[in-house]
Amino acid sequence: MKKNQSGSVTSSVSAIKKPGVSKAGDLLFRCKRYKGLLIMLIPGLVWYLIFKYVPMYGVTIAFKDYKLLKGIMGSPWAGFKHFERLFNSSQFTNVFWNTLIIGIYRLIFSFPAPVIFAILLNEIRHERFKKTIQSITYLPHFISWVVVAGIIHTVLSPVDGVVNYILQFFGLGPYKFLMMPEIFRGIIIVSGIWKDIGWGSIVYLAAITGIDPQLYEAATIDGASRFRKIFSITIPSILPVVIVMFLMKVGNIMEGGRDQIMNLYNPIVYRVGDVLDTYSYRVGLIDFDYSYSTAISLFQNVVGLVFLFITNFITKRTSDEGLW
Amino acid sequence: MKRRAISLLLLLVLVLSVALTGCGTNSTSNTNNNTNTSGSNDSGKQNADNAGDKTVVDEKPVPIKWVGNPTGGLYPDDNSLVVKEIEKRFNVDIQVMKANSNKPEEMNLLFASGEIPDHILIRAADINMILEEGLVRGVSEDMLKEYAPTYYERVLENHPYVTNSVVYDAEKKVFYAIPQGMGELFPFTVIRTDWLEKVGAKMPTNLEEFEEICRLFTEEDPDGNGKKDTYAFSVTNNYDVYNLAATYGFSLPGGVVKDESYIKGSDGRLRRAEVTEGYKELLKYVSRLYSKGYIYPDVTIKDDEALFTDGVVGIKTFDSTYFIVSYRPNDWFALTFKKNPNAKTEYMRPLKGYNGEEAVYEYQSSVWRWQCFGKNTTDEQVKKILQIIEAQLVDMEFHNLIWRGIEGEHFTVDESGMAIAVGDWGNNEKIAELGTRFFICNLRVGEQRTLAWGRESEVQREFQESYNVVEQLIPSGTPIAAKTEYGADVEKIEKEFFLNTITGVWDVEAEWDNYLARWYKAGGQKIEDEVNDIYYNKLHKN
Amino acid sequence: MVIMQGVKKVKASKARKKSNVIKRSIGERIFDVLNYTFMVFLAFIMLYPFWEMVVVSISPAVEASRIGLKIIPRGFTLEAYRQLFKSKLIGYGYYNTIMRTVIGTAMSVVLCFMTAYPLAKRDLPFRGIITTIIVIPMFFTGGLVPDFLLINDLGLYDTLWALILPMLLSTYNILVMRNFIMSIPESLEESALVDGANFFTILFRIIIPLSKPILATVALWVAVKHWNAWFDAHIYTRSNKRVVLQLILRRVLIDHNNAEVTDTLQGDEGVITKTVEAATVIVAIGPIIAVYPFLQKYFVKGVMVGSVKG
Repeated sequence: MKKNQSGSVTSSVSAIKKPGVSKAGDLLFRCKRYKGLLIMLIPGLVWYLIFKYVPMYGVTIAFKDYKLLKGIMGSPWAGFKHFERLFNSSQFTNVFWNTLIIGIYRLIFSFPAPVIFAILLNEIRHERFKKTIQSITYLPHFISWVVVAGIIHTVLSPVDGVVNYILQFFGLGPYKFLMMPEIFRGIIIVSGIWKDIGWGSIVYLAAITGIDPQLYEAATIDGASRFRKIFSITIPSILPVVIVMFLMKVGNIMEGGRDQIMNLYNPIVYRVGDVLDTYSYRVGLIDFDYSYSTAISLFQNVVGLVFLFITNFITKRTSDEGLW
Repeated sequence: MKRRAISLLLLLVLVLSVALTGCGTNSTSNTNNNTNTSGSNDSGKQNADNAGDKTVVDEKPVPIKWVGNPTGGLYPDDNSLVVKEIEKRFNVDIQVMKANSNKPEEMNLLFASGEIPDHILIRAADINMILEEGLVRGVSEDMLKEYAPTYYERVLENHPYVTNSVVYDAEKKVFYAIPQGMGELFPFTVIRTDWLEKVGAKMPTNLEEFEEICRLFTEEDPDGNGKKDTYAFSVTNNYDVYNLAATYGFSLPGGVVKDESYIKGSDGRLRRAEVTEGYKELLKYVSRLYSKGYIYPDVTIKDDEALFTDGVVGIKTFDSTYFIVSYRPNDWFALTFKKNPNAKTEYMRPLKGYNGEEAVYEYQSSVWRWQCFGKNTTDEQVKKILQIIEAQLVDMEFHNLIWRGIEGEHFTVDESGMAIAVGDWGNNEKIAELGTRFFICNLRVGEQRTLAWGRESEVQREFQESYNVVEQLIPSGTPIAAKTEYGADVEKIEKEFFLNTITGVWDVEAEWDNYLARWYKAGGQKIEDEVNDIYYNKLHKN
Repeated sequence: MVIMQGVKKVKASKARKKSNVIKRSIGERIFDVLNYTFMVFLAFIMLYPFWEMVVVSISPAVEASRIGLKIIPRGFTLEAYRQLFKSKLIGYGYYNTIMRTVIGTAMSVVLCFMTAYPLAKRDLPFRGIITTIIVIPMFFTGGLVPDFLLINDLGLYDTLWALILPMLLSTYNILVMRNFIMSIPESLEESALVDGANFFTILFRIIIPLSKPILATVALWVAVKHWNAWFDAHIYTRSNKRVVLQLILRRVLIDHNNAEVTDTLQGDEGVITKTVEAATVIVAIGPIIAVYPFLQKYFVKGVMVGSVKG
């Protein structure tokens, strides 16, 4: 790993911690030196101001009783009422747990899948075959969940689905897959992997390509087998990337994937599949309670942030890698 | 290359700075909205603008912002035939508001942007929100009588409960909303009579016979293809068992029927149908049919209508207009007969209940949408809107124009007296081009019914009259505060229980008490208390 | 230097290939067989659903509802496509989707680069503050109503710009691009400065050419996002002429099945058969699928350095 390539996606956060390093004169000098660059930044910052910061007052909806006619600023404050409602809801424990467990399953199963896939793909030596497989596996990423869910419904149908059609050759089934609470989360995970394994592997393939070939050559000379090389060179070399990606995923742990679950679930599997995302959507749909659903998503974001901080802290302690 | 890039850069800055200035005005207009919630000002301004634009006969046309019914989500052009004709005839200036009354989020965003239209069409389910937010003005009974006498008559004749509901202030004699649709349609159940013939059975009259029909439809190869690949019916939500529920003495919300049913127990307490013994019995009955394999196994299927079209199931419950082949010539029901020319169907009469009693149909409000008037709408504007509504009922030519265009050009009348679109004028895009169906007031008088549905309308009416109909204990649209807070949670438990029990994942008997406990804990108790309070302390004080 | 590294890599991997071919243990051979089989299997389950959709879209209606694997089409008809293209909406949809994708992507990439390049300078004044400013919106957003009000107040409502301007920048893309630019050795710039090159020469002769891979990557990301976006169009546009392909797709796949939105009295949506559904999907996803394999070499290279630490 070359020093000059350092800097992860959010590593710049570290820069915030040391603002006082430079003196005032120095700052002025740097302003002059980078005048052109600072001007260049203006459009982007203006965009952020208009499209991100102007609407941000909307977060206050979570603490208000939003009334259409009064607008967001004019609506009366409600304190933590909506959060209390969320925590007191009979569905909260169930929905929160589902969100968490599906998030954790994603970390355990969905996260490593592209890593493993990348390593396996790297072991393919026919360049053209490799490229073809790569291209094909990117395909599902470009398709929306609506379409994918339609495909899943068709394929898994207990009456005329292909999967049951094949299983019947082995004397099995038919299974009503989407009506089985015990495997619903599995379907969520597997379909998620199916959709994004190829796309997700790009980063790792890139990282593998970046490994110094001399390491492999040296290992070959030492008589290391391929498995040996995978475990002693490939995996350790891409580990930093894996950790960074993992941390980013942890930050998203509370995001249940609304589009995916909404298009796949049904009342039979509510108790294992209803997540905060779908819950807030249904609440919003039925009652148009913007305040409540904003409170729910704010809660989700905060929990996600907390997870991110905790894991970052732990990984920094144990492996010296981290987001910042 | 260099110069081009620089100019591109400059262009971007320009675009963004324009956006920035726009943002500046944004904050001011926001405060405007907050302080005076203007609208009358706006319309006044518009009046002046229009006067400048057009050379009007003698009076200035009255501007009307109209939220209507966009067929297929498409809006009529401002210069479409129907819009032009209305403007000419009533001396108004119609502004078609682009918000779909079927999609609450679109309506909400419209209101959130400070826009309050003059004619507001809104789903029955959203009427409380509209009223609570104070978005609408009232319209006095006298005004209705004066400008829309036929409409007024029809409303009270067909909707006696309207004056009993939230939209009417009895003291002031003011309506805050008037119904757009009219309540005549219970969900019907149709049955494949060619299947009945094939298995040698008669139309079922009670639950036992119905079960036997289900068995025959599943096991006796009613389509005669030699394979055991048919089912009696499919279930995806409780709408599919609407007519079965009636035999247990209550109506279920589902599909387009949104009203909930409350039943008075022997102790005098009102309970939601979904927590009564009758509901439990219904679930037991349906789950037995499912366990025997009579019901299509996949209850998560999205296009369940196609099962009937393809001849996989032989019984289907739906709104009656779907069963009028010439009214919906391209729809799933009509396709059934294109796919299988031998197919024959007939309505199923209400079945006798499980204890030998008549099936009970609760009088559904069937007001799926309300028409209301924006809070800043002037009397003059209300008058024009009422006149437009009234004219649809009394002026046959105008009625036709609003619904289907010009006779001979856009539609013709067939031998049964039913209107049939010419060419592709029945196509959604063509409808938008013409502007038809957007301004409809969904009431039909006399031959207007025949025009819409042909002979079927009379058959259905006759059928409906054979139903044993009772009044709703809690009129539809009654605001129940606890439901706003706990409605979603309670509904989740209900839906979950419904599908889990009928598919046999849960045993009805074993899970019932647990279900009740969860239902009451999730907020059902609060809803029930409030409903009883409303019933005894507001609706029936003495 | 980056390029040199790349060249070295290619050479080395070729060398590695040769040396590896020489000796392979039985275990390795079994592994190879399994690995290849697995890859073929994976490719099959990725491709099959799409292939099935192609087959269904060109099949007669009866054939479309047959049970079982559909690999070889039995019968051939373009009826579904004919029916689909009869609608003017598809034309509008294509126009709007292509416009927003092309204009939106071009603007996004330029603006993203303009923001990322300055931030790549480690001693840029206020760098920390600016970075914080662009990171915060990743976690806190105003929500649907304020966003809508903003678009409405800017006068963008029901225009194509409402689909382009709000999507111009993405914090993630900026940071990825910034990291890539940071990996370009500063010595290159310094020596150019010594040679008397000015700001623009450095920008256009050194930085931009070297950033091509990341520009291509971000372009693809943005383009895919634009192509698949529907919610913004659903909220910010209403006119029939502003419809985008994904909205049509959703109307066909979802709304028609939804009894709640289909008004029983008026909504004469007409039945949409499986073949038309499949044809709509093919029409909506076709172009992006046809394009991405050609961009593949760029975005793989871009991601390589961009989002990766080290």
